[in-house]
Amino acid sequence: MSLFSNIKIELIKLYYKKSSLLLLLLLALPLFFGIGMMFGASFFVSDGSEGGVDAVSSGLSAIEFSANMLGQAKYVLFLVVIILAAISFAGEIENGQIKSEITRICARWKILLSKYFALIIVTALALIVFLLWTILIYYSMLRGSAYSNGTFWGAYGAAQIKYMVFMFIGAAVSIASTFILGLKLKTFPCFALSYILWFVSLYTDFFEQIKMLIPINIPDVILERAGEGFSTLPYTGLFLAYCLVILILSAFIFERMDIRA
Amino acid sequence: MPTNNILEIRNLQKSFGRHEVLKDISFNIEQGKIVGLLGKNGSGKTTLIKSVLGLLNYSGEVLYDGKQIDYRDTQAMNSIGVLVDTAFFEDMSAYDNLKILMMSTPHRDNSHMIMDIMELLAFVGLEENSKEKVKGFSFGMKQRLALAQSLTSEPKLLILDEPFVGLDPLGIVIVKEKLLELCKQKNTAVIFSSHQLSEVAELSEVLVAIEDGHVKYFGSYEELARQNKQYYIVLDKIVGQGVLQVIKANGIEVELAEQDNCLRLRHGDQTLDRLLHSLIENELGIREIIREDKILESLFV
Repeated sequence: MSLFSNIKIELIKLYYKKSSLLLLLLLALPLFFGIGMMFGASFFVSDGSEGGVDAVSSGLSAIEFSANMLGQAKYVLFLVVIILAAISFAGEIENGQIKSEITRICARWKILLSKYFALIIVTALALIVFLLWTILIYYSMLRGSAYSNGTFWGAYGAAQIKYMVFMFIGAAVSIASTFILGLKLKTFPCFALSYILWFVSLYTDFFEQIKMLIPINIPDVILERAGEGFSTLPYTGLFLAYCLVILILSAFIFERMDIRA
Repeated sequence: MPTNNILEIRNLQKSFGRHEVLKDISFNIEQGKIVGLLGKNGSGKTTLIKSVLGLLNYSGEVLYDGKQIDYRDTQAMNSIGVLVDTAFFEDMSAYDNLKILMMSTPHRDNSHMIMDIMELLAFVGLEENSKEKVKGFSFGMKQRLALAQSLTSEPKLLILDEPFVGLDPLGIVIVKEKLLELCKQKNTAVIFSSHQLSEVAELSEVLVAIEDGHVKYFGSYEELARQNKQYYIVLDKIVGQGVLQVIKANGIEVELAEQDNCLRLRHGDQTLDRLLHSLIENELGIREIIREDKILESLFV
């Protein structure tokens, strides 16, 4: 049985899971912000002055608006992604659905990887839909307002896209972390601990020595250094290595653990 | 030497921490046979089943179809049908639960998948509930769906943990018929655990009883029945110790039952004739002969 077929099955399962509907919250948030900004509620938007991206004073481009909204919605994004990761792995171990997969698909690493890639695909799709949705909101609600400069790309469009890509990479690391926690914890503790760890990691930007090693700090650094030719390649490699190491370790433990449920 | 064994278990041991659940389990299952797995609560039946399926780590050997079982061999593992604490995707329909399972079956011709699923659902009496979400199902309906799941891959070996739990009497009859049919027509071997002794007695050709982490009994039902059949012989008068000694001296294992005019003969038919002759010779009138068939119960004593 190919990994691709397993991923397909996992995607079908995610499609049917009610918890997947939580992803819709991501769409509600920019709509709520868009309406607020339409009526001139400036506090809905950060001033964006860091790193030369003076977003509000010069007006936002469509891409800047999207990235800005993702910055606001990241709490929901990570919450939902971690919930889905906890349910699809720790939940299936706790409730016993994983048994039929183990006795059929057999190689446990394949089960783990297929669940991981299915969640990665869903997260990527959610972010693409989020991007399109925020662009739609920008053009339908904010065009012509004081917050919009009417452009699509803006001065720092590439940095904003990188900002979103690193949010995605951060989510990939969080999914992997949730999986390894799920090997030993039940669904709720797994979700709670994983989300707390992510939340705590938000405050590591106070510590210069470790700041750049934590995925969630990099998107902000990208914006801060938008005009300085900041290379994101080493961090992409580093965080993908995080995922790889966590997944290999998870697969190693998963292959040897008793499924008692 | 080639054997007809589909499954051989040799010196299987399993502990959880310091608690030894299975200390030394060895037995085998022949193709086309139905094996009943018996034991008290907590005796390790489910642990044994989960170990054989590779869900639990263990020491010892499990041979499937003559070879060391390879839990990574998808094809081999898919030829084993499993019903063990089945959990479903509750937000999905019965149909979709079976569909994702069939999709994960390698080398399967999926062109007839819809028909196959509906056939399975009809077999377990859930065809009218095929589109309903499983979370609305009763325990019995879930049990029937679990049985359908175990049959999705046309198994050579069926491993069923408490397959009759939650089924209504008609459901039990249907399941029993299907299991017998599978054995006869497709030579499928079945091992099932159950606390419902009547079902075990009716279905099983071979019995495995587990007690204290060991196999207490492994053999045919007939042999167990022969060993455990006992008779109560009610006499006209009280039996004296002297007469009892004479009978015992003839090699007949007999003892006084609760009442002084009643003898209990263990281990059945073979010695009954001799005992009756002996009683007549000793001029003891026989009022009544009662046969007691607590065959499977004997495994729990």
